[in-house]
Amino acid sequence: MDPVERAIAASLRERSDLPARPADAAAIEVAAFGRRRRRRFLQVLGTGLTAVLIVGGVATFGEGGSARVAPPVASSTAPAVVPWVDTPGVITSPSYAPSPVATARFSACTADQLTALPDTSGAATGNLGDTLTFRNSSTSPCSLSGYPTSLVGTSRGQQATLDARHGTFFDQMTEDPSNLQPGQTSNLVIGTDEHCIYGPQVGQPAKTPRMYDAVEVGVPGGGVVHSPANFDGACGTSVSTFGQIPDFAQKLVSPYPGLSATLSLPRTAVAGEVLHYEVTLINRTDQTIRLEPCPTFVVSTFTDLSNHDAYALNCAVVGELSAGTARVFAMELMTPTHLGLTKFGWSIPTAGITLNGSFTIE
Amino acid sequence: MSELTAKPGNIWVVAGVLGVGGEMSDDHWEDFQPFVRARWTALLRFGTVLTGDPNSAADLVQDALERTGSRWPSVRQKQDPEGYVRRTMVNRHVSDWRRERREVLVEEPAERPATPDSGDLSSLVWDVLATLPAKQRAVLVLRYYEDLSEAEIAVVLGCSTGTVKSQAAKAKEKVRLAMIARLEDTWTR
Repeated sequence: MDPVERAIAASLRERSDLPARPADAAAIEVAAFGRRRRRRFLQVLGTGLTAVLIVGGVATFGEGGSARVAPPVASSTAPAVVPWVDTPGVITSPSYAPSPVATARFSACTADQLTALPDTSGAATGNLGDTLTFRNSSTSPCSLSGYPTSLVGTSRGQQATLDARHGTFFDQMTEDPSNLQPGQTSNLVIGTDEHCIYGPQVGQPAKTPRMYDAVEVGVPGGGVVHSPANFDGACGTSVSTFGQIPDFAQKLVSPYPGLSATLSLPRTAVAGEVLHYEVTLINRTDQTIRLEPCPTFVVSTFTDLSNHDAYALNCAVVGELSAGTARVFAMELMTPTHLGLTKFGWSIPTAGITLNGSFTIE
Repeated sequence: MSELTAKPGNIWVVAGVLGVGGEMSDDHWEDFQPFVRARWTALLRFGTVLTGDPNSAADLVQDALERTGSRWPSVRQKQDPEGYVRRTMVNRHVSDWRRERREVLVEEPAERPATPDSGDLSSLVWDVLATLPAKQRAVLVLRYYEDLSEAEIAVVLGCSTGTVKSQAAKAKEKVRLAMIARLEDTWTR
C-alpha cells in the first residue's frame, strides 16, 4: 500500500464507528426501522419503555459520523470519564505468533535469481515501512541474508544513493536468514519517518517531500535488483535486513484481543502547561476484554526532539471493558516548550494500537 | 401488519425487516432472524463507511434486508448470503446517490462542520471521502475496507476492472491532493 492507500484504509477502519450492539432483538428492531421508520415506530408504540432508551443510544452514536464514539449503553447516562493517574508504565515487546523458519542454508541469492515488487498486503500498525517482496524466480533454492549492499532510489527521474540507517522498527520481527525455494519470497523493509516534520526546525532548513518511485537494491549474493517503490525520504530512511516479516495485524498476539481506541486531542496547547486530552478505549467484540496485565501506553511528542514516556492505564478504576462498550480515559501531558506544530503519538505497543495526531504549541 | 401477531417473541424485528406484505415460512423465518441478529452490527459498520453516516447506514441496511428477506429462501441457498446483502447495499447506495443527485444539484457543497479532531489525517481523509461520488467511494470501501480485489469489485458493481481502476485512481488522487494541501497548509502556517 502507498501512503494514500494506507490513509484511506486507516480512516475507513477507524471511522466505521461503533454501532449500537444488538444485545437483544429490540435493538435490532429499532435500528432496523431506520431513522424515518423509527419515528413511525415510536408513533405506534407511544413512548414505550426500553425502545425509548435504545433509540436514545442509537441517536447518540449516529451524530455527525464523527470518530467520537459514544458508549453504546442503553441509557442516557454515559459512564464517567476515567480520571488521569500518573503511573509509570513498563514497556514490553509485542508478542507475535511464531512462524516456521527454514534452517537449511543455501548459497546466497544473486540478483539474476530474484525479482522484486512492493508488497501490497499492508500492515497498518501505524509505523511507516515500505515492504519490498523478493521472489526467487530461478529454479534453484537460494538464501537472502543480512542488509542490502546498496540502496539507490529514483525520485522524479533522478537517482540518489540512500544513506539508509541500518535497522527499522520492523527488524525485531524479521526472521533472518530467509531461505527461498524457487517461487518463495522474502522481504525487505525501507523505513521512513512516520512523524516527518517538513517545516523549518531549529538549526535545520525546511524539508520538501521527496517521493521515490523506484529503488535499486544491492543483494549480498551480487548484483542489483530493481523494484518499483513508493516512499517519502524527506526525513531520512532506514533499512531492514532481508527476511520473513510476519503479517503484524494477523500475528500480533494482543493480551487484549479486539481492543481499539480513538484519540481526542486539542488543536492548540500552551508551552510548559498541562495539556488535557482523551483516549477512548473500545471493545467491538462480543466478549469482555480484561485489562490484565494493565496496559502500558506510550506517549510520544515530536518537536525539535523526540520524547517518549510510558504510563500505566488507570486500571484501578476500569479493569475491563464489557462487550460492545467504550470508556473514555482522561490523559495529561506536560506540553513541550518548543513552539509550533507538534506531532503526537499514543500507543499501546503490545496491542498494536497506535494513534496519531498533532497540535500547535503557542 | 399481520406479521406482527403471527409469530412469537420479538416479531417486530423480522416484520420490520420484511416490510408490509412480506411472507416467509416458519423454517425460513427461523433461519433469517438469527442471520439478522448475528450480522446486523457488521452490516451497519459497512453501511457507515459506505454512506459516511450511521443513520443513512441504518436505512440502507434495512432496505437491503427487506429485499434480501423477501427472497431469503433463494438467498440462503447461496454460499455467501451476507455478501449478497452487502452487494445489495452497495448497489442501492450508488443508485440512490445518483437519483438524489439528479434531484438536488447545488453549486457549492454545503459547508461541513469541523469535527473535533479535524486536525488529524484520519479526519481529513474521512472528509474527502464524504465528497466523493458514491461509486468512487464504494470502490474505495470495497478495496480498503472489505479487502476485495479489483476483479471482485467489478463483479459487485457490475462494471469492468478498468472502470474499477479508473474510479479508484480518481478517488485516490482527490485524497492525495487533500493530503498535499494539508501538508502545504501546515508548512506555511
